[in-house]
Amino acid sequence: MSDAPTNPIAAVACQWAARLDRGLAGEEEAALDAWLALDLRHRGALLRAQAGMALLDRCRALHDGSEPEDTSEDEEAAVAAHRWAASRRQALALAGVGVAGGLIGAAGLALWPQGSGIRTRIGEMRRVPLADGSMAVVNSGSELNVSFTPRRRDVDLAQGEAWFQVAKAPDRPFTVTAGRVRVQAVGTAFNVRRAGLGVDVVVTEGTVKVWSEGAEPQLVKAGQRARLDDGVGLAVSPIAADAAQQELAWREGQIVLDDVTLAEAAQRFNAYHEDRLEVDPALADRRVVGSFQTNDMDGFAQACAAMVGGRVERGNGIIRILR
Amino acid sequence: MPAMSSFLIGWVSRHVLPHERALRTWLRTAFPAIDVDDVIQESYCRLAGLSSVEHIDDPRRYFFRVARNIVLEQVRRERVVRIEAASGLALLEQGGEDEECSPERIVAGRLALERVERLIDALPERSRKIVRMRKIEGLPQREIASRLGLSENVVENEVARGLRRVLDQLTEGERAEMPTRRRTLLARRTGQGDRP
Repeated sequence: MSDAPTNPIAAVACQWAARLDRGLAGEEEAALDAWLALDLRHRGALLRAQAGMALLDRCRALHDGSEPEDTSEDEEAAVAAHRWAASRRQALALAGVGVAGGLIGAAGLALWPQGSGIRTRIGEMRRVPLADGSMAVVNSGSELNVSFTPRRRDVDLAQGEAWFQVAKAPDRPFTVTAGRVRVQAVGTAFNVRRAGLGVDVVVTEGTVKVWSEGAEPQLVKAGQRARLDDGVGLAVSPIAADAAQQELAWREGQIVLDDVTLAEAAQRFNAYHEDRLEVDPALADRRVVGSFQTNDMDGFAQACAAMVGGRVERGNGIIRILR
Repeated sequence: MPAMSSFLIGWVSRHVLPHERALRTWLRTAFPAIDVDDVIQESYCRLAGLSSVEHIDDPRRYFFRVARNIVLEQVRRERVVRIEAASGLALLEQGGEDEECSPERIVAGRLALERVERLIDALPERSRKIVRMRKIEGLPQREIASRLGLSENVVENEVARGLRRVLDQLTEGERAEMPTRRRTLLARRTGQGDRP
């Protein structure tokens, strides 16, 4: 910060605080009144400046031996310090639980039988290391069937969404089947999502071959997406890096909302929770921007309510955001 | 317009001003798109309009709430609402308990004043001398002027400038807390000089 006033009103307010401090001359009182009347913000700025001056005055107490603060305030501070320490301890304890939970999860994964299904519950997201060194990150409410042979690696995405980081093995193609769509990779990373009859493939590394049953394969590269909508052919289009990042934010347990309606945002949350989030139709079209943890449905509901001046109602597994 | 009550000034000095820095940090994190200076200014405006503070048990929380309401009013006027901003508010409401136990709260009192004094000592030479004489030794402005052979006007300006610098540094982030004299030296070394 330079010496130049960052805020011109604050500079003038400090000048008035200095004048008030030494006592105003007769004509200055009128000038101060005029300045205060000029802009409503001036009064606030003067209050702040005078409070600052009072703080400087209290420094004198550090030197003349008097107690700068009354003891009740010190006690209050001590209590606050104690409570703060307690809440830190609590946070650390919770972090410990998190680590333990993580370990149990990892042990469960290591024992995952190959050639069988992988199923995630609503709200569950799981990283699954595969036998060939590949990694699947499986989103909430999904179902996968893995079948590996020495010549092929086949994964059937029966429902939901998964991202694959494929270990290089040129003579052993890695193929994901999602309904009528096939995605084949050698060593690359890509995301496959099924929604209704549609399939959406986003490639994050390397190149994959994508085709619809009975159609010619198309090459889809990193930075591109391939979409199959119900009854329409496969469409390949570019996807910006940050957009791809947002689409895959689910792997970090995040939902990124970029200018979507509250109704759409609620839908995104609902994919991760047994509870359902409902938005008052009067608010459903409000557009929002932001990012949230997938597991923080409550926080999202409260934030929405606070934002629109509404309220949150809970009952029967439904969270309603009402006007 | 009635004069600002000295009680209100003392209350703001003790219970509000020491939290301005934390409030600025929180505003910047929770509402990246907002003009923080503007919200702070408006917050003090609303405090200036208080006729009594007896109903305020927790001044820090009150200060944060006032600022939050101002942000909300601004946010609600926008067509596209920024939820990252709103998620900050949700945190304020849920995390209120933790907020009041922040380290700033703990170092209230003597430590806070020692920090103010360090900021005075970091002022440019003439400003530091004058602020110390006026505020710590409690000398009248006229006497300081005659002792230093300066006009009363110069003394008054130095007090105002000193106050502004201390306030700025007290309420801004760590970066701004680098001692002024050192910064002046660095600036000279890089050939930029210090602005008057």
